[in-house]
Amino acid sequence: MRNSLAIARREFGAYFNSPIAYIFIVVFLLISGYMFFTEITTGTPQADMRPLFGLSPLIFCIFGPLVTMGLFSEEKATGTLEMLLALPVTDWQVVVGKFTAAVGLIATTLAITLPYAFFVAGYGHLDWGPVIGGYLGLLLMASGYLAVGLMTSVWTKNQVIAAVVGFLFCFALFLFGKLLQLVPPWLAPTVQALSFDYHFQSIARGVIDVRDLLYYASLIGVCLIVAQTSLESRRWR
Amino acid sequence: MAAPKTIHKGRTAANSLITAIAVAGAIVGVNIIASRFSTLRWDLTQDKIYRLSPASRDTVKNLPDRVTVKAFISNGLPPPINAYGQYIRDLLDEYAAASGGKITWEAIDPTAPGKDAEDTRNKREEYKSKYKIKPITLEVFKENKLEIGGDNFLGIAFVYGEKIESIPQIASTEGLEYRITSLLKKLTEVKRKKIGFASTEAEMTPSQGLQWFPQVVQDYDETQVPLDKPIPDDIDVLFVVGPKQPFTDQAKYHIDQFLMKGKPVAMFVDGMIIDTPRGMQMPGMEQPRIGRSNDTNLVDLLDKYGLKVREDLILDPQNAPGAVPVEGQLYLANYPTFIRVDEGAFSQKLGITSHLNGIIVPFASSVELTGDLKDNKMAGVTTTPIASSSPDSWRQSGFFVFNPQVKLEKSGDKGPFTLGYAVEGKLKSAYPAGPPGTPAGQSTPESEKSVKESPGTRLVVFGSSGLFQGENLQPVIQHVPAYLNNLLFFNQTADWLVKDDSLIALRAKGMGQRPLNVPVDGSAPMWRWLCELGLPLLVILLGVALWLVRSARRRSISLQSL
Repeated sequence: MRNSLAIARREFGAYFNSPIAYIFIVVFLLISGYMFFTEITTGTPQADMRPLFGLSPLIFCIFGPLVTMGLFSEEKATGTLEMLLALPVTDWQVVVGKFTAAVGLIATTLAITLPYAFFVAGYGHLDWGPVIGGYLGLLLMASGYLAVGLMTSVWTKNQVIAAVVGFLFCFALFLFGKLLQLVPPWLAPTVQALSFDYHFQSIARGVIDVRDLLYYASLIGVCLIVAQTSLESRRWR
Repeated sequence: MAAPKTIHKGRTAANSLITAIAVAGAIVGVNIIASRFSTLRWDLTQDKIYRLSPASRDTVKNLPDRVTVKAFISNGLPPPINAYGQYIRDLLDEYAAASGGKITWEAIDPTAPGKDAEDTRNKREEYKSKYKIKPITLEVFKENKLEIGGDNFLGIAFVYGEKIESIPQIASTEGLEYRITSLLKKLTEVKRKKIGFASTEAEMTPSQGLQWFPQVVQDYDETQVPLDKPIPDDIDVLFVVGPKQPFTDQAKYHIDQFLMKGKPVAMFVDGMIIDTPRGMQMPGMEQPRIGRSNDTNLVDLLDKYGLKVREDLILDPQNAPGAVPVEGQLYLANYPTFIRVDEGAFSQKLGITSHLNGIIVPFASSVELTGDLKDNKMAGVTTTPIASSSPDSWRQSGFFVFNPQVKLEKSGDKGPFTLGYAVEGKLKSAYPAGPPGTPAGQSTPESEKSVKESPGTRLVVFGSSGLFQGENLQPVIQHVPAYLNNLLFFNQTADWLVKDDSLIALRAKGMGQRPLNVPVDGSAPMWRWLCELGLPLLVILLGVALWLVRSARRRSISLQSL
């Protein structure tokens, strides 16, 4: 645990020592801010955070793999991964540490959007339950995308390939929830159960259901285990 | 030497892969088990929308006898309504648990095949005719084509002795708990309460102007009440909505005597009306709309109870979009006649407005207290303002031309104005001498029968009927959901008048709108830009500051090393 936290701290610092974190946060804030405030100041808006929660899943689907693409690919390409793995840390600790750092970046980004909620609360009767649920759901969903991106980053030395493959996986998970009408009825419940959107919508209502938490925890867990196993494969290749 | 190394590598690979597959398999297994059996969840919403409310718990706990619930849920429902199926199961579980054994429920798949084709057909027929369950038509993807499918069922039937009530189709879970509890009450109630709608002076009734009534008001029966004769005793509450003609003395006397019997009355009366007078209608041209006083001849009656609907029109810069006629067409536009009353302008202690987040009041007149009630000298009578306009509102009095394309000038008579009052207590009759026409000081058989003072009763007087008028609601309700609160307001007014507030919280649960009102002036634009552009700018500045600090530190380290 301590080793994982040390790695997480180092990686989190690395994000903010390079332009990556700033570019990601600023672009996210500009897009989400523009869309959010345009929506809540036109027509007959409701005092809720749906404009942010409706848009963010797609942004995270795109940005998730971009945030994680360098976590292993870059280290593999530059050879620093061998140095890291030569330290007295397990592969699992490295995977968890890097994943935690990426989640920290997303959590920081989401925290910066909290003034949006205070703005809405200032001019309407905001129910904080769905806001808490929405933020938790977004964090879990984004963590899922990051886990997928981290997994694909382990597979290749090329950051671009890692980002593209990660994006394809993430986009598939994103699309599952959007294309249910086109899926044969017998397959629809399974596709729905696999979709990020279905579980996110459930949490964003303000209901924290164990089934949704388990889904995200499982998906993240599976991706991290696959990442660790892929990392471990250097020993038997 | 190479063979043992290869074996070792093979073992490592096998161990890794088996561990990964076992862990992944276990995770999938846990998910499948949880999705079938777990009901553990935390409802963070303010109104606990997704938990059974106290009103529902009390209703099922106090059921006089056992109720059997049949949930008709097709197997293999397509998304998104398959999620509703799960929600219904969870909800019925909660009802059954709260009922202490008085509710039992079973899930039935109406699409399941019977013993043979005839048995299947008979069963389906029974579900449709006996339990009134209807198939839901949905778009489904079949054989690479999008088809309209009608073989999906999602409905509930409640069986209580010989009586059956049902929700034939469930297309949304919003407000479902209220519908179930309301039906359970309806099923087990000996006598349902009845609303009487006055129908003599061009008032609005469910068949004229209040067409939404059957869909929206589920807890009351309704009937029309002509006021040329005494109001029948089986009427529990009288609604007078939007009269346009003068009431006769006889009609007023019947309202008075209804009140004096302790029966409640609600009067939604416009002080002014806006219409095109017959003589001014010009074929093929934009019809001029004139605001003029609405002569209902109710002034003296209401004055006796200490209330007055003023002949004015309240205009408010705090307004909402409404249906505005421009050149013969209806447009959705903000206009000062559509007053937006927010939660802060309500009395939350009053059942009529509790749990409401706001209403939109089109074409409202102010209501004032007069006489003894104003001077607080009417013993045993309490008054509560129901809603008020904003402090920036102003009053428009007298004849004027209503033209939505012209900006209205503010008058000096500034708000806030009270738009309605709820009165409770012992009221004195407006006809102490008996029916109209009775000579003063003389006693007649009719005058002896008339009641001079009411037992405790309730009276609501509100200066607008437009907030319920289908003509105002129908074109805008889809675009401005806040108008739905007006319908909740109607229900809650009826509940308060008949002193049954058990369903108020439940009805409003998850249904109330939460309008967001971002003003275009004041500090709102500054906060908006601070959030929209200030936050990204702050992040950039932070990044630059950190970069400068790091660069300085790096330079100092380089200098030290030199």
